[in-house]
Amino acid sequence: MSIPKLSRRQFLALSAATAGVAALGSRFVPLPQTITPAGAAEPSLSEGQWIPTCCHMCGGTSGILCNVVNGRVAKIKPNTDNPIGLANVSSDYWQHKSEGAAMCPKGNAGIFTLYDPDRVKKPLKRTNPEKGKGVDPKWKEISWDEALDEIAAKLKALRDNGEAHTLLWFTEDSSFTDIQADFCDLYGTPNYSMHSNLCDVSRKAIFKSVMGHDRPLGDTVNSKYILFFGWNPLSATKWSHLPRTITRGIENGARFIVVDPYCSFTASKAHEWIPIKPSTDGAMALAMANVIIESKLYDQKFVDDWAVGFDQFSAYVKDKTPEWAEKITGVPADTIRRIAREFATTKPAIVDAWSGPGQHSNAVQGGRAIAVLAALTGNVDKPGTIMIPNKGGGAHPPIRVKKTDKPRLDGLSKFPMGHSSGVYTEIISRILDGKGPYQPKMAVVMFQNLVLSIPGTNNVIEALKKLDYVVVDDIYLSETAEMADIVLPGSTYLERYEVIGQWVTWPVVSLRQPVVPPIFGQLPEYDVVIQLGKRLGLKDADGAPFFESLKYEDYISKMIQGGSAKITLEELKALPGAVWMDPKGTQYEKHLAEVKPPEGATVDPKTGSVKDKDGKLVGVKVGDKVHKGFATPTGKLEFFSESLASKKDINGNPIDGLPAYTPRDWYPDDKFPLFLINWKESHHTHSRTFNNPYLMEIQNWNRLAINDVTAGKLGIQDGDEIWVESPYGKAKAIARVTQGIHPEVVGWQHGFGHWGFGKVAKGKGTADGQFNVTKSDPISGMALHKEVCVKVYKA
Amino acid sequence: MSKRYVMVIDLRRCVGCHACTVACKQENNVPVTAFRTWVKQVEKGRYPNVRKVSLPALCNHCEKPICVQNCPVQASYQREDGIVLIDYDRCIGCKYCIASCPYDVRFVNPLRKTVEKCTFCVHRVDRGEKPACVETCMGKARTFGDMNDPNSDVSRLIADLPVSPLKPDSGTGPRVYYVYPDELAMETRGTDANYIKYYHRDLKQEISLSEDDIRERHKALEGISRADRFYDYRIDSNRPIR
Amino acid sequence: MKPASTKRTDSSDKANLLRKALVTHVVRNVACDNHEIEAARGEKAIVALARANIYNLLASAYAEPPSLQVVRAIADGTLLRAFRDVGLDHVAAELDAFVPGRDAKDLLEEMEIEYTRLFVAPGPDYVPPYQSMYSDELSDGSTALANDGKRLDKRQLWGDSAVAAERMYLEAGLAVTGELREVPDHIGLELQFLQHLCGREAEALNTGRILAAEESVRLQLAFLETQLAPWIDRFCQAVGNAARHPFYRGIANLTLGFVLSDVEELRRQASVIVDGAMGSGDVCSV
Repeated sequence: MSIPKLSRRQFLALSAATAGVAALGSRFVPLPQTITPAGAAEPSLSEGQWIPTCCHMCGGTSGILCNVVNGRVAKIKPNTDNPIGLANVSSDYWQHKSEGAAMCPKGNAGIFTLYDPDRVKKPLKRTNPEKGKGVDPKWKEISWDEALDEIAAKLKALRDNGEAHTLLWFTEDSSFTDIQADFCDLYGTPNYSMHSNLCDVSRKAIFKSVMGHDRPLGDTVNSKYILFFGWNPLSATKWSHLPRTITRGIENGARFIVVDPYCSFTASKAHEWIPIKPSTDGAMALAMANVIIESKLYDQKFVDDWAVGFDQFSAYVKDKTPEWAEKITGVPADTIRRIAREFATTKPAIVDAWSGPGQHSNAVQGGRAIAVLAALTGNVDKPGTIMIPNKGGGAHPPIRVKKTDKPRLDGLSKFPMGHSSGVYTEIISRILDGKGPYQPKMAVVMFQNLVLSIPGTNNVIEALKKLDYVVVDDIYLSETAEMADIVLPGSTYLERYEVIGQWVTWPVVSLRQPVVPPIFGQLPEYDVVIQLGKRLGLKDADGAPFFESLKYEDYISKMIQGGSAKITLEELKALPGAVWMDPKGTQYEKHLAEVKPPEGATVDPKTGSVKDKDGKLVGVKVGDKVHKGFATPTGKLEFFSESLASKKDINGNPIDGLPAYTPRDWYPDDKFPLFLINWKESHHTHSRTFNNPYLMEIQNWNRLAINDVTAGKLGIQDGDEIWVESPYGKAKAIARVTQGIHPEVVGWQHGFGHWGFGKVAKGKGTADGQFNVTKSDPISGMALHKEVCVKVYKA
Repeated sequence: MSKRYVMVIDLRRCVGCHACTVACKQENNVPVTAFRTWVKQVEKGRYPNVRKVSLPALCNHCEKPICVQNCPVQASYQREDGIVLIDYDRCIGCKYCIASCPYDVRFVNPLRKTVEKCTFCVHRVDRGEKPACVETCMGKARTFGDMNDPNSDVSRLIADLPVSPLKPDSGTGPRVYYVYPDELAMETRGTDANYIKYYHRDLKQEISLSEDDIRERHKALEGISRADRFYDYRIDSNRPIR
Repeated sequence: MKPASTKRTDSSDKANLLRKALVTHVVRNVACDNHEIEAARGEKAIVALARANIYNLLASAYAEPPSLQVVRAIADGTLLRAFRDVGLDHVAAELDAFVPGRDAKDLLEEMEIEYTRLFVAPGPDYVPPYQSMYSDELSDGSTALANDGKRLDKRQLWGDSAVAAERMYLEAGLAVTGELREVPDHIGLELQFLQHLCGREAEALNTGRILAAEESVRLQLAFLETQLAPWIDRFCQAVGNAARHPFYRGIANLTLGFVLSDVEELRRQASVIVDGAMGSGDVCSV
């Protein structure tokens, strides 16, 4: 390239010629004269300022402190004033606070994500009408006003045409959800959906069904027997206290058993790793119940007082012997027998299940069988058992709105234990098969990478292509953003606000606040919502323009004030670590709290449920006292769920009120003989963190774990390139031959296989969702990430 | 009596999450592909009696550091409190110390072109804080403190629990102690069948380096023995002392 | 305005004509107070204004997508002539081949896409316009440039150069803020900062505040030397290699040429001042 050295004459000529051609508006504003740069009026220039906030490298929201030096985030460290990084029961937290809270590798790598050069910086508009994987969208930068005007115009057109309900809205479930829900309600679409149904709605369903709460937490540090089915909390460290609370429990004498097809790092810490065939955990649980009941090892008094349906359950499991379970699960009958005895006779004990059994088509019934084991042995809401949390949080600020009566596209109401987050797989399927009550036209996708997160990758791509207009708000040009018409630059957690109700067992409310202003001047997602709402002039039921003068700081202040903390945003900011905590701490055996039944209350002789004259449950009669009970329909722990028995699942099949075992729909056969599962590791979150160099250098490939013997039969050696093939997808992978996986199972870490996203993420590993059917479990709507059968052969 | 800083790592509490690996990188601005601390992971046993063991490792700030002894320009030196440091302005990058260290904790910083290693976060310690890896550890496996203070946490751990450093007969007197040391994990070499070849460094893939970059770097490393390569050698750690 | 010597009467006549034309252009098109123009005294102020103008042009090329105005200037040959005038004949030729018969609106979108591809949307041709991506910096403040000029590792925005740039902006009494905010070492910001400084110099000269003008010049040189010059060649090379559109190749060439010339000239002036041989009219060699 020739480098012209300009003489003065030349540049004067140039200046004359080009004067006025471009007149760039100033990017600078003058500082007030009285402030000197060195004097820290500009907060970004203060040294050593530690700003408390909450992480969001994963949805765990651990408390962190961020040091800003010279306007740049210099360091992130754990925030000990926030219990989530230390303990999940208050006694443990207060006793061991001096140990300090912890932070996982992802939190430590947060600065890289904030300053990632591959971030989307400005709004982008697609100019190439053709959409597809690998098709260049030919983006052009547009201004924020242009982008918001265009999106608002599209929204307005739909609404004016009476088609507001054809708008689909997707968001992550822990970020600015309330204001997005308000927008959708005011706009008039029922299709507000969150990612939970990709995550753990089956676990929510099982525990909600049995004990009335959808997110119980195990008090592992105080437990003496910990039994996990398909949970890997020491790698999938959603809450950064999990490694400490679990290893400390073991140090304190707990026996730790992990049932999992894969020898995870969690299984590695267990006294025993029990390999099991995927989706069969429910059978093992029933066999355990069989042994416990047969040997009269169950807590009879507790069951008499606090369970309904025990007799039916007992009759049902009578023939579900360990031998019966061995045939299904592959776990030796003697092992099942022994574990059952140990579990029932060691107290206090925890039994828990998560996304292992949770992401198959028999997830809910299988999970319920596991959950009732806690009820069977009286291990509920006591120290060292599975706890019903008293979770604090923010309240949804009051809004008067008349919601649309149009049905959701995903048919959520047909899922008897469906979650308010919806059913993503049904949305994708309805777009493709057109069998919904209407055809959706537009989608707004906030902070989601649908393409890599929903099982059946190609289906998702095709579905997005079918929509008329797609808006994606993300920090990366993800595989979903590739299909968008407009991409808005998202904000990282270091650049925005949120009210966090922490997942511990007592009310704790903490704040996420901007550590630096959005570095590209982008609008945080909630401000995008507000701006769109303003442009549309959305009005509430009283005719007031809801978004007109709405400031998000006021909105969250209302959330905090209306929730457990009952203080303002400013007051929360001023608290140590920006954390409010209920001084009463963790409460145990909350079901025992006595209540005074109101006038005209009746008692059900069979269940002991006490209902008021309107039929609403107000308590449970046990003996001659009336207690608060559990939040189930009967107030008791339900071995038999009347509520489920009265419903049909999405396929129209009746649901057993008992946790009856049925195999999952799709089993391996001669053609596709291996179960394919996936899991998480500590250094990545879903598909989100793959452009972060510090995290990618810990592991930048998801090799497929294959059992040593199985690999030998297939002639595959460690490190070989292999084909993985299901009826729905075929791709190359690299083999990792290991002793630590069930011989009929192959598996890998989820989230790899990006083809977009960024320079670091691109081309690493194999995307796992491409082998799946786009389907959910028929009761809760849980996406079936793990129900896949494949064949594997050398490439 | 002066202080003597040591670290104790409780292998019961380490879950192999690599928080320490990344915290150290964040704190000390360690370049991508180099590690001042890392977690070796090993798979033991035969199906179904299998477990994975994690072993965090870092500079042992030895009592008789051979790296200090062997440095031809006295760039490596040891403080009275035991912390072994490198004077980057003196280091000439000869890599003799890398070859000398029985624990392979040293590496060449590709930007500075000098040798680098864990400093026990001396800049934090001197202002009364714990090293970054200790602060972040999720299992609270790492403890740091003064071994010359009989009441310190580290002293009590060493007194009360079964501890051992890595390669206790290396002759250098390592001062990082492992509680409930796992023999297999500590002995396993990267070439052993049970080493979990997890890390990207085992594959040809590298992050953010183009083919040209890699070729350039490898060209520069030609002729240098494997043990001296800051990048690859961790696969084959625990070399015997020469 | 006195000619440099009688031997160069022709060129100095041209220079005078050029200056007059420049002043007229500046009066008509450049966004500044009429007051300033009327008060404009001396070549130096005009030169400073002209430099401000050019920095504005360059900044706009990187800070935002091309406007219809710019596209029209390409389509109607203004920029083509400008490139020719500064000796970028081959680029001018490319533009010439590229442009005729093109509808300005089509051309606009094509160039918006090109701009986005080069400077905004992360993709295979993305040339991150941030100084931090081109300098290798360590946390202890020392700077080590890798042999091949490529960043070996960090791939992180807001490096030490960004902190340094922001500090210089603040010391000059300017803050980057609001919706148009960018990371402080974005090329557009750095170029526009120079535009501001040149504008200040002009204003100071016109109001007779010679010391303020000199201070501004000092700041200009300091900023150019510490912030722009260290990476401008690698950046412009990268743009030149990645750009498919002749306009951006031209702008990259121009940026490099102008910035380097400017640095050289400012250094020369600084040494002249040091030597004490400061003349008021010798600044322009025409």
